[in-house]
Amino acid sequence: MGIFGDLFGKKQKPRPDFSNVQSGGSSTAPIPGVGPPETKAPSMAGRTYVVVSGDSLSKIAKREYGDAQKWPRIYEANRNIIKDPDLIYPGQELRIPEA
Amino acid sequence: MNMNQYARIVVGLPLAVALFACSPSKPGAQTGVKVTDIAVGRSVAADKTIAEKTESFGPADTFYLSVKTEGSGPSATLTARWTYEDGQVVDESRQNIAPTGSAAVTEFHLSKPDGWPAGGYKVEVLLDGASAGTRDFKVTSATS
Repeated sequence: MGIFGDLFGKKQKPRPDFSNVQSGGSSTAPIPGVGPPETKAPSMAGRTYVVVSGDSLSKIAKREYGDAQKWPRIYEANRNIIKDPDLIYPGQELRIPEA
Repeated sequence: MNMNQYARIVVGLPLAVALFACSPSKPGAQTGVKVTDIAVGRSVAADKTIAEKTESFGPADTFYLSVKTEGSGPSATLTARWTYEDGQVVDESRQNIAPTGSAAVTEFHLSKPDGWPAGGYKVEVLLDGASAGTRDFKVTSATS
């Protein structure tokens, strides 16, 4: 095909759409202004996690504890804001009890 | 003051000022926090470190990034900037942390419900806006 074939013959790869990408994160470090977590009472120990789109309790449990089956621990700690364990919403602040 | 002393001051003073002004500023010196390790993988452990390191993902995988920091400071911002091989920014997310001295680990994760396009990806970690390192990885249509 030659040079012109190489230049013009190939179809351009369509630009991928990343508009529905879902992101999140958490840290072992305290959040500025909140203070270190080491000052907590053992029974109420834990961190706060902000739910992002695509999250479920089992996904969060997998991430936080390494075991998706431990989701009831998060559910029990947040019964005041979670009515149905299958329904959590982006922006909800969940308390994550210590493993 | 003789001419010789005067000449030394005239030449030496601006030189000293110029040298001082050009001293490099230390990144992160304000907060005393530094990034010590960056890793990507398919899953993360309870301590936020990568449980399954890889540089090759499948389209349905979630990308996990784990950033270890050391030092303390009242506030530091970690940014994860994910880009595709064509230069397109896939996502940029930030976390503000206030490390208290011991090593801290911060994780970022990224998923795409309809699957990742195959190709090369890069994630750049920035600490207070300054690049702290990058990691390259790829997505292949056949999961490794």
